[in-house]
Amino acid sequence: MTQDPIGRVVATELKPSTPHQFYFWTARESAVGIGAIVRVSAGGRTVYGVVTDGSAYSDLSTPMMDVLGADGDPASPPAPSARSEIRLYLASVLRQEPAEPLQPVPIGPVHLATDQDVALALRMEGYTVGERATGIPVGVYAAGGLESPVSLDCDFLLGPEAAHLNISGVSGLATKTSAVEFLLTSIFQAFPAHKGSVAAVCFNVKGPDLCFLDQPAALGAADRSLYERMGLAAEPFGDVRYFAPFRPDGVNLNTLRTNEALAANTEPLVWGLREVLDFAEVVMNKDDVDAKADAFIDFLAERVVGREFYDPSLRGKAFQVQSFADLDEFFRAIFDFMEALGKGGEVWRTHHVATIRKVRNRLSNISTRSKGLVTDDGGVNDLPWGAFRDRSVQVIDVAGLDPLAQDLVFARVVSKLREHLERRDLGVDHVVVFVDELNKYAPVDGPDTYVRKMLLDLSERGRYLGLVLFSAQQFRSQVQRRVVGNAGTAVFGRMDMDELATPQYSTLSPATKIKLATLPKGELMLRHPHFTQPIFVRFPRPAVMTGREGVERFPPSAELPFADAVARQLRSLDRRVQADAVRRAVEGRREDDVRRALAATRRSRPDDPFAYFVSVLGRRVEAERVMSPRRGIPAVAAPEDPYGP
Amino acid sequence: MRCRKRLIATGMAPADGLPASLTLHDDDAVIRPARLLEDPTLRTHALGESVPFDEPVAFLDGTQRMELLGYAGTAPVALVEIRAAVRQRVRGLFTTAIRERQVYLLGRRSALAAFGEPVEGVEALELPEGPAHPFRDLAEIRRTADRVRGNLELSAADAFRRVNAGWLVIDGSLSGSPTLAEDSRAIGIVKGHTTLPFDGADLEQYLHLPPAHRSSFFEPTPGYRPVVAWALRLWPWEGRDLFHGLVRLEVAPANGTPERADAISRAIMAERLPVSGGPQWDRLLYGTHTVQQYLRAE
Ligand SMILES: Nc1ncnc2c1ncn2[C@@H]1O[C@H](COP(=O)(O)OP(=O)(O)OP(=O)(O)O)[C@@H](O)[C@H]1O
Ligand SMILES: [Mg+2]
Repeated sequence: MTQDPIGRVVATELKPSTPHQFYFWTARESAVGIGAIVRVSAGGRTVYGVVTDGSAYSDLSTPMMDVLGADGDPASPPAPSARSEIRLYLASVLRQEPAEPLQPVPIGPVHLATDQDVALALRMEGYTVGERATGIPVGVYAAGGLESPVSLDCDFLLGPEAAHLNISGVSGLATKTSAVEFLLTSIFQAFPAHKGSVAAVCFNVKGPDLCFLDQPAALGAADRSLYERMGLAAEPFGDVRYFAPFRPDGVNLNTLRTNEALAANTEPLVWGLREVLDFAEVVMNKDDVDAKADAFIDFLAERVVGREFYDPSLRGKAFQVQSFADLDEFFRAIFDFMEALGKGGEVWRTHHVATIRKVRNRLSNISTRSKGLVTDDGGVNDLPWGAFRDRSVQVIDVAGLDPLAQDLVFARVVSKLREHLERRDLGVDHVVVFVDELNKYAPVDGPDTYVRKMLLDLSERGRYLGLVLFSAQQFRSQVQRRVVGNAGTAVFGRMDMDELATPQYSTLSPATKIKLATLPKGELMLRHPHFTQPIFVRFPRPAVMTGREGVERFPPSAELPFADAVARQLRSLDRRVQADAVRRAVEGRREDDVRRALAATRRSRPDDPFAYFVSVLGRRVEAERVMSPRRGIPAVAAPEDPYGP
Repeated sequence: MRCRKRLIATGMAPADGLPASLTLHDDDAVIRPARLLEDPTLRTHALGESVPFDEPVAFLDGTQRMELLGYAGTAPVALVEIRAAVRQRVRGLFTTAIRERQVYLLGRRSALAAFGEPVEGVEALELPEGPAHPFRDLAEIRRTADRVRGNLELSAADAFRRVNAGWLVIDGSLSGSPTLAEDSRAIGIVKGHTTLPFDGADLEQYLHLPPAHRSSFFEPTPGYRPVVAWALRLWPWEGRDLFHGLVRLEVAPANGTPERADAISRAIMAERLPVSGGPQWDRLLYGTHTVQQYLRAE
């Protein structure tokens, strides 16, 4: 506190001090810069401000004088005297003490903020100290050799007061994904016990980005000291589960995390008919899911799928519809029945044949475009609904999925999270959902998709449930405004100048924009409800392995031949399983049967997975020999159908 | 236009208007013949490139501000605030080394008596008696202010000398002060030319001095306090006016050698830059300008 002032407030008629901003000048060489936090104490009043603009000028009355002096030669030797010159800064008020009466900033000496000043300026004393503190370190404010920790208030980050975080910035330089990874680390370590438990669900939408959250990073001394300064341990996530759909072959995983060393916590994400039917709305074109189609889908969901359905007009034996294949059999029976009726055979159980066709095409479209995620044959492997563990991360790798299937994954996962949190039976009290490349899922224009509506709903109502959205995108202007607008905390990395020229950023000074446009990696600008002005912080590299390094250290294994891929799957359940034995067991079997046996093994988690697998394989093959060979689900052509072949 | 062409055709020097820096008081303008100390007859010396001082240099200047308070009957009473400062330059940057300030109450005896005791911090100063014309008193006030300012500048120079032996550049003549007139590290820069040292062909040579040249040095007022002086042209004048960029330098007799005169001239030439700006930019050195700025801001 005894440091010398670095500047003095100046107020003139043209540049007056006001309650919200003030000017001050400094020596030519001073540590002040755009974003610096300063303190003015004078006349019984203490004001904290952040520098938002600066100017410098000399006593030169007109540029012509300089030309004359240099004799028109820019290379002429320097003059013996340096011109008198001023460094004038504009600061925006962060806080005034006392707060009332609110008055213009007094004229007085200006000091660079100390740790304590930073805490007061950002009102952090209200939530970072005491028994029920709610601070979550987000970085350090660095200026003039000082590194002051800055914390967010988790009541405003994870609810209930406010929630959600959005981060923008250009590709590769803005460190968006890294910032979210770091913040999750910080939340997991600093989230206070009195606030309960927290878990994360991350969608990996791009390459290997989030594929190695459980692997340590090799951090340099500077990064380590930043962790230390914030009281955090630089460790990877301890409890991570990876979910990836299969490739279309149904046995190789569709992810870059296929190195065998990582198999133990990498598992398939497989959904069946039931899971899809509940979210049929997602994948139907909104315009053509009319009431009639809805009614038929409801009929299928309530009366047919997953139960015994008997209709003597269709066939003598009851239907057991568990899978897409079963469903197709059911549809065929309906069409056969109506064909047999000939003219007049246009309605079955009040449902018109066109509606039935449409629903069948949509559903078959899902199973084709989501091949690998949606199984034909009932075997399901899903997130641990109801058994989420505190401080666990579930990463769902959708990077290789068709957009339609990605939408389905988003919609179902978020809806299930919501459902469970509403019923308070998810296993944790708070879930952070991380959606990277948000502009793809909630674009500013384009159709009002189910996913976009869902993200909006999440951003509007999630905070009451403990369902929190962390999202990232390059250009905030390309995301639906209400989704980003509902984020209580907004973060900005290196920004694009064109983006900064859009109206959303009109409140930023030109100097702040320049700073944003040239921000180095690892520095961010924050808006948070407690901070009256945007604040710049530095954060360390995440303590987890980057995607790029991960794929070098753990090269994805080549797509395996069918039998070997099956062996790999079984070995992830039991390391003792021998590839040769699996190969022999699978030899000559139909792939569908093998997949089914594999799914069954995964589902029941037996003590001896291989033995169980072989037994299921044997039984099912016997059982199915009597049935006609499955043919997948060929789409039925209907001329008015945009999805038809 | 034809007149101007004709003037150029006859070999006369065209001007670009009245010398801006001059307030012409023709009654002040005199030719006071000087005694040449260098060369048998007046000539010009080419200086070549400028060579800046290679050590710290200080600049001294003063300002005055007059406020007419009112009249005692018909006799004016004025408040005059004078300031002087020395700013020293080290590696291109200036810091203030000395600053002085005084406030005087000026008026004729009767007027001061009518005012009564001057307020604290203000010194009363009586004007010489004379005809009671208010204009005459005002002119007298201005003259007195000039004089006390000169004194304050000298006392600032003395104060600086007590703590610093480096170069001191003074705005004005050295000959007003016995100590400065003998100070071998003091340089007086005289920007006004109401008194000229030569006439006839010598005057023409003196006032047609080419840029980056100096005149032979001379003793400006023989018989008075001896100093060595010469003219120096800082900027090309042709096409402007005779006085453009012309200054008279004054130094102590100890510096009265051709080598010293050349060296000091080259150093002062370097002080043309940066250009100070304002109407006197062709003659006002930047260092002196910063002293004025400082005094005005204070
Ligand atoms: N705190 C940090 N300090 C310095 N560099 C960092 C920091 N965090 C991350 N980086 C580096 O910045 C680079 C980009 O990071 P990241 O992938 O997070 O950016 P991104 O904004 O998500 O990019 P994209 O838009 O392409 O997804 C990485 O190479 C990473 O190593
Ligand atoms: Mg990224």
